[in-house]
Amino acid sequence: MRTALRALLIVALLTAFAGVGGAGPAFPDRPIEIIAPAGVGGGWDTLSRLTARTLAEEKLVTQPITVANMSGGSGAVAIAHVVTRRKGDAYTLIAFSPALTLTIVNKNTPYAYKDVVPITALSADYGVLVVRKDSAINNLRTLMEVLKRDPNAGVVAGGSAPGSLDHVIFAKAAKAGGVDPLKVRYVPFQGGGEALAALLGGSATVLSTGASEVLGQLQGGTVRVLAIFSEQRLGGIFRNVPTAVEQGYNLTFPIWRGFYGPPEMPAAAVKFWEETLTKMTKTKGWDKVLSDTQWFPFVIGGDRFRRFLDEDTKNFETLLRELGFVK
Amino acid sequence: MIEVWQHLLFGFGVALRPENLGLALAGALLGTIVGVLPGIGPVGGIAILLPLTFKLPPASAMIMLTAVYYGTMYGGSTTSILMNVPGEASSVVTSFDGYAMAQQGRAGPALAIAAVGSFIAGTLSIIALTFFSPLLASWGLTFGPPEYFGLMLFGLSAVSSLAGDSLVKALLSMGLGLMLATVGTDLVTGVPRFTFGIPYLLDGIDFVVVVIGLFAISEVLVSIEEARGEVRVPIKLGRIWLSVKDFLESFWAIVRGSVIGFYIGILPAAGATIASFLSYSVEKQLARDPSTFGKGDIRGVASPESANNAAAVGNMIPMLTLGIPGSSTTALMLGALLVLNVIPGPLLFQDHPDVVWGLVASMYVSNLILLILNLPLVGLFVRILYVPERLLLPLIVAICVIGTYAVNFSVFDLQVMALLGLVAYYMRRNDYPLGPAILGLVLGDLMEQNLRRSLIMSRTGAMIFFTRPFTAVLIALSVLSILAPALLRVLRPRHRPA
Repeated sequence: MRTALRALLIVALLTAFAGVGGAGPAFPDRPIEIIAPAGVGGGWDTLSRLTARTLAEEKLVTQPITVANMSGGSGAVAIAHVVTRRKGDAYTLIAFSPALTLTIVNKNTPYAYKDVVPITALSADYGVLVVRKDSAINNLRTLMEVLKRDPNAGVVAGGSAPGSLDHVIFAKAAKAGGVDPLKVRYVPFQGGGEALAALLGGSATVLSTGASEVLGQLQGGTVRVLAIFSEQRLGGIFRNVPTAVEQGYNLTFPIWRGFYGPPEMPAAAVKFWEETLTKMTKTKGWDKVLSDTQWFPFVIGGDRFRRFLDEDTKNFETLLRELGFVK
Repeated sequence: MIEVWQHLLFGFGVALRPENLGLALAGALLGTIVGVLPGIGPVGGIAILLPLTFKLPPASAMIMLTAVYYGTMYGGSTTSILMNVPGEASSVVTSFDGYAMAQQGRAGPALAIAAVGSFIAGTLSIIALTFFSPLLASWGLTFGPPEYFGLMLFGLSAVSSLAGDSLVKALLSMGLGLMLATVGTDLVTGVPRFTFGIPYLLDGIDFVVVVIGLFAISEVLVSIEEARGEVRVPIKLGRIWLSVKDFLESFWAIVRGSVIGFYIGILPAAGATIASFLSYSVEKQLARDPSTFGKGDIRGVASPESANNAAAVGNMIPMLTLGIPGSSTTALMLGALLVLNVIPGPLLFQDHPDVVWGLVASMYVSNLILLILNLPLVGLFVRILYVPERLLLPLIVAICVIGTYAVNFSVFDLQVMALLGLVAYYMRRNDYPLGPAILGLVLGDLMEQNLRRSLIMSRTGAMIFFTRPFTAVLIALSVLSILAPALLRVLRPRHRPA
């Protein structure tokens, strides 16, 4: 079995190089697989499927693209699979986001970004802090003042465990506002939906999550978004939501989504994917994807993206060390 | 009220369009098949279809996905009853009395009451959903972590009604379930527990894998052992159809199952599996002679099957009125809506009446489709009992392997399934009931999380459980339910020696 696999791998490698270099048929000359490291329906899965669809519809890639779901440990299962089984593969793309950065920083995987090839980010959602419509707290500054006076004054709900995305969104905001995040009660829920129910039902006073989780509530007027952690004010449903920067805080929290490739992905393939995916973000089809899903453009590719990731990882490491999650 | 009728009429206009009717039928059919196959449940069924719905109008997509969801609830009971192999977690309870009925040659009535009960429960729940959604949704929101803790505790107290002859063995079995529930990243601290550095365990062990391992694999092992190469004499089949007596006997079980299931379904963090366990336990405790439960009592099939369908409908309420998913299945549906440029939230009714009312109306329709589809299938399905074991058993294993693999596409899950199959084989051989293990697994996680959430929220420590009326009542009920058998024994005058 193992030898058969190895043989297959060698064949794959050879064909990969043959396809990328030289004068053979244009790359990619074989079907592509996009790995969504989570179940169907989540952010990674939606990104993968919509990317596959747009690449095909805009005829940027003519080879068939399949999406495979490989859930587990916020990306830990997929990165382990790719590092150990798909070295040098030019035909695999894996979806990722800051959730994987946190998996890495929290040491829930032995691998890191240096073990794979980050290609490009495509879109983003942004961190938000949300209260019920009837809350007396009107803006980020009031919230921070209330919490500074009495860290027990509120209960923060989020859709994931301490040390992972929703909690870190709040922790970063609290630090920017001069509040000790460890002193504020944070109640973790199983997913954004349950956390939202806790906010609406009164079990929590503040919800810390991604903007896309509260689209419907914001539209329906049941909640107030105190601040969105984007650099500039966003359009659409969020046009009336002030950013933290506007309110005088040096605070942004993009939840970018993009793709990485397997370790030792051939340089020509990396270049191809970076260019093709960037080209895709300029198409009408992708514009429609963004407006349908209420995602925002966030395109950084290549070396800039890899530097951005290094920086981001370091920042998260510092924050989580201060919070005591990383020793 | 008149407005609701108008909306509903408009909804039927959407649901009865030929293409939507076709999609509902296709969804119902697929759901039934997926439900019958062990391992592939509602989540799997919807996941398969989800990418296809990207190309449909939102109303049609939702109609199809709901029909699939609904169909799996109907189909799930089939293998529970016929082979003691539950199709999904929510039909585990059905196997207790359903399989016993099949052994007595009453597979036909068991399957029929499951379908009829599902239909009645479904229809009652849809009526409630049609008229009282907003009210019910805000009731569901008042359930905070302390209330959930109370509910889960009450659920665990149902273990006494799942015990066979030995309460100790039932408790040990539940302990196994509770232990399995602790595997994975601890939600409250973010620290991995009992994962041994294996990334596959970070998200815990999937219910489906445990249900298949414990029930299906061990059932196959036991059957092989009992057959010892001999050709099994097929069970004599009694009448296929439900008698009037059967129906009257189960009528109140269906009604109670519907009410319990529906209310539990409305709660965003509880669902069909919990509903089926609780309604079974309530039914048994209300019964004049509880000793017939577990030995082929038709109420033991009617009650959980009604409850899980009612819960499936109840689940739609937080989704439609608030845009909050009540289960992983409705979470998938919400994801589908978002991709179709429909933002689920409080404005859904207002902005997309075709989606909401079309969906509501289509639920009446698919419920009827499923009843019509399933009753004739009873006659077909019972024939499975005539399939020789040497063909049937390998087939069951093959389906289980595929179903389990399909959950996460992971070979690791198959290994866990096989291991649990061996554990369950040992348990069966030594008369440990398996139901409590599933009960522990389903409730353990939720109970622990909500206990700890409550304590984080509370500034008065454990007092939070006694100052909230609903929680206090649930805790009192749990204590009562655990002590009741012992109390009754003490209070009741001793039987005079004959």
